[in-house]
Amino acid sequence: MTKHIRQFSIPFLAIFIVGCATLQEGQDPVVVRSEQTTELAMNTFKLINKTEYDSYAAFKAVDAESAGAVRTFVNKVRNNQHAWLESARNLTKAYKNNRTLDNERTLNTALAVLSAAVAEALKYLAQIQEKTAWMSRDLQLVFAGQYQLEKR
Amino acid sequence: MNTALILLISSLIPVVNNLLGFIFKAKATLAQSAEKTPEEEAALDAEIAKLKLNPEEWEKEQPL
Repeated sequence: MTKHIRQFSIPFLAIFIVGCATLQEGQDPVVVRSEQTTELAMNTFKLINKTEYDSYAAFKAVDAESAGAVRTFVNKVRNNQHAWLESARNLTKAYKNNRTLDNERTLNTALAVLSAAVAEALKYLAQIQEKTAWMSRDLQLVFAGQYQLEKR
Repeated sequence: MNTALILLISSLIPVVNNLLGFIFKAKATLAQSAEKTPEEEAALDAEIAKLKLNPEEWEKEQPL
């Protein structure tokens, strides 16, 4: 149970707590949700790009194998994020110009790719958070131990 | 001892900063209740364009 709670990442909790706003009258939910998904995916990719880069050395020191797996995933994101997001944007624009069921289906396929990548990114973010938090707690114990020794 | 604590705290600042930035942006995104204006769309497209870097280029440029 505790392990499951620890694996709940802060970004996921934030999204869960905030929830989606009610749409204004006359607005197309397909367009609004598509724009939200694209923007949220872009910010999630930025977050994992930066967090992985900032914490790589610490993460590698704690668990080199997991750090390598996360780096492989993040490099996949770095290589594909622009294509995924651009595809979603182009299909959103196409749908806005011609609101057919076919265009909506194609757009939903692109959004599903983005959502899957975001879900995986959140899973890896939780892993980074768990491992680096473990390290800082461990370091705190080391510092606390040193402090006790100094006092004696 | 003090130096080690300062190093530990300073190493946590970017991580917390990234997370807070993400939470505020996510909050603004989810508060969207209407289709984006042409200006907002252009801003989103410009942000996406910045992500067109491979991993090696990303490490050098650090655009985020």
